[in-house]
Amino acid sequence: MQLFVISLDVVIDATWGDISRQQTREFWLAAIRARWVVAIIGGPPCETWSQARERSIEGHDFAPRVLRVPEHPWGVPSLRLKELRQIRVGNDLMGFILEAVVMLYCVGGVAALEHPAEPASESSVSIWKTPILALLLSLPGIDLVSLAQGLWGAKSPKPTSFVVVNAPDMRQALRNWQITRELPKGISIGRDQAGGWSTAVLKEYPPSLNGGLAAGLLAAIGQCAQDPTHTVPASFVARCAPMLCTEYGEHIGPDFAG
Amino acid sequence: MDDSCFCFAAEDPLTLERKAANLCGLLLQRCKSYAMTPNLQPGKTAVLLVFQGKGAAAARKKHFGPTADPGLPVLLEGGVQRVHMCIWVVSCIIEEICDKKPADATASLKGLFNNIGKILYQNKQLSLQRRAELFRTLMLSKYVYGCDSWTLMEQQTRHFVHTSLMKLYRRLLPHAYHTPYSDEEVLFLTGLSDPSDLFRQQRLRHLGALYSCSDSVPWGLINADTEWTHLVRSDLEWMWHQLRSSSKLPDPQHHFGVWVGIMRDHRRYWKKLVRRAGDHAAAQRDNRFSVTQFHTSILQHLQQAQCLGQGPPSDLRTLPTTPYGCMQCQKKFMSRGGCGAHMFRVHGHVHPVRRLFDTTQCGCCLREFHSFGRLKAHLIRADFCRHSLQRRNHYVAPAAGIGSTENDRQEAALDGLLPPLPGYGPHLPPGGQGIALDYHLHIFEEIYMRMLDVTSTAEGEKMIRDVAQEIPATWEDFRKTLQALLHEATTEDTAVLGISADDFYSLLRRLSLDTQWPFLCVEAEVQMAHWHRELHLLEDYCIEEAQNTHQRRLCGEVPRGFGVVRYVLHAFSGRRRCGDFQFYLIVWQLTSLACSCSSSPLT
Repeated sequence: MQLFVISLDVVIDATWGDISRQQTREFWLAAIRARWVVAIIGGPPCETWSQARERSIEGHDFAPRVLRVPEHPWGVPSLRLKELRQIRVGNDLMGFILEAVVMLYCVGGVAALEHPAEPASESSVSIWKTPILALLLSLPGIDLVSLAQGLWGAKSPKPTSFVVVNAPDMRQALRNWQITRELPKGISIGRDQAGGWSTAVLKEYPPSLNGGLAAGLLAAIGQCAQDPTHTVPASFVARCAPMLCTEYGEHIGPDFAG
Repeated sequence: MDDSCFCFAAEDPLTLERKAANLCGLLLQRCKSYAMTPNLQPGKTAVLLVFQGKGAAAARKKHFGPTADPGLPVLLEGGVQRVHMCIWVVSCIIEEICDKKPADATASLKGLFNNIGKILYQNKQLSLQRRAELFRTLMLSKYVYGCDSWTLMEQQTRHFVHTSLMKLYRRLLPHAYHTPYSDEEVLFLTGLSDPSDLFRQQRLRHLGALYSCSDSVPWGLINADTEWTHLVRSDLEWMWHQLRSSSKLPDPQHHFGVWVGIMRDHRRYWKKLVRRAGDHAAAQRDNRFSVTQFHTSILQHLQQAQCLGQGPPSDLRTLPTTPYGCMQCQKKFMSRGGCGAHMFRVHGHVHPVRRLFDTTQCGCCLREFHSFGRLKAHLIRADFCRHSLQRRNHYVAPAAGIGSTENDRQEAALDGLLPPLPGYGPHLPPGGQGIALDYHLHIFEEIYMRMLDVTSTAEGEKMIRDVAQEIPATWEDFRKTLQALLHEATTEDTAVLGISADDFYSLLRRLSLDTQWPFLCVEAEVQMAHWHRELHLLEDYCIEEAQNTHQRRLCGEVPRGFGVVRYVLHAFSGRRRCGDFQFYLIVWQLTSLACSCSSSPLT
């Protein structure tokens, strides 16, 4: 089995990594339907879903405000145009990954979708409270794995949940990579000392969590049904070639979510 | 005096001309009394005359004909001066403002669309966004000009305006003839304004213009137009809903003064606000569509994989009040098309006009329609052509119909781009042997022949109902036949009947009403199940489906498996770093799967 990882991000490829483009979404969904793609992993931008928006920040009258409420999880009816663009991009990206997850579920592939865990407050919005996620989580073979990234090395607890498709050993693989039993005390809300948003650093998963996810996903991919006669066309291979990254950078790169 | 305008009117063109000269004389004298010399050159000062009514043509010819003197002679103390005159442009503008009707505006828009269709209509050299932009600039602006006074109170007019605009929007999209785009999809893809929002914005801009020149506005007249003011009130409410999160504007219902202040003193800002409200409405609509679309798509995938316990949400749709039905089978249909399909499938009936042609050219007007379907549509609508061909009494075997391979081939070759081409040549003389009938002759004769034997109205009614059951026909044809009998039966014809003429006529009149046929009055409701629903309905479905856990099962189909070469998508990955997901995945792949559980850092 030869496995290739495609970095699906706008910083890697401005056209075929830009999931806000309709054609890009259609291309990758078609590749999943054709069974050339065996798995997907990703956490769609949570900036418009974040609980941090519910906190006011002193001295910042124009701090990001709540754009989604439980009654309107896909965007409140009246917003600024800039906020609407943010919401639109967030919804498009979320829609793409949910559709990809469902398609992989239907073709027997593997998927993992990450998002901040469901908040305790009833008045806070979360994707885990949306009806479509409730339906997906009720399907056999789709599990919800909740954890605190702090136990895997993040500087704050950062409760996180994963939708895991056809990867029954994921929970165990993640536990194997847990590096501490105590939650960190840090808080990642508001501005940091450099003036940036504290949530920015949390966009990168801690290495241990990545290790656990990779192990769980690889095990699940190995269990997928095999069809040696099924081949990937050269056109698809050629298009994916520039997106198979081999060089390493130092940080994740700018956030293009909106 | 700068930028001044004086309006005047008169009963007839001659008086109007005299009044214009007098008014100009007075004004010029007044200027002179202040030691001012007005610039009477063309483009600087003009008398704008609109001649209407009796003598208008002669007046136009006199002043604007090829031998007309330039300018209007104005008698002053110092002699005669000529003032430049202009008529046509003003006339057009005034007519456009005063008489613009939705139907006229739509017809003009369609005409314009056809004229510049080569630029706009699926031009592959231009992107869809560019074409939509051209459409908005060149055509939509012309369409909405002067429509701010429309109230469109009738549902039928509103529907007409909406559908005609949406049809034009749709034509901008690729493969518009073959792809069934919904209205939401068309608006989403083209980025054009929803027709109702378009009119709202137009009215709000107009309101701003009225307030900015409030001193000279006849508010009494405007307030008397309650329909329009009611609409404007709702437009303001709409605008506030769009802007309440992005501006500090208060509710117009309680603080209208603030709004008036903006309209009166900050006209440019008002226009900006109106545009922003429109943009917000469009963005919200697109967002809603996008979310609905991925919900629909997900549910469709799950249904195809047999993962859902129940089918798509369904609703009951009441059959239309306009009845379409088969008299023999006593069946009611939702549409004329559905009824026609039934008549063909069950009774082998084809539309009568299909027996009037065997090529794609109309035998009467000689126009080439390129496909049988289009020619059929032409003959259904063009009474003159149809009747002319019917009178020739030359009927042929029906050509291939809509949906046939032949017609599809013709449509594909046509690609929807070529309009009907006029044909030239000798026209055949109008037929004289045949008769042009739009009713069912067989039923017509059968009813009359049987009526000769009936002795009472009840018997006659039973007989007509029997005929309806025996000869297959649609309700439309049957009714037309009864009405034809009603109109064509002469006194001599009715004199030989077993019932009186009055009874005969009243019987036919009564049976021409759909209420007399119970199967046509059934309030039939049809179960419609599909995924193209509003978002809240899809979400309700998801909740209900999620709760039915006892019906859960794995995917119905066994997955077919993946090849040896497999791709993993790492969405939103950012740049690669040491210790990221890909790093570990490749490392784990290079070692072995067996290592994955034994090398955890914690253990």
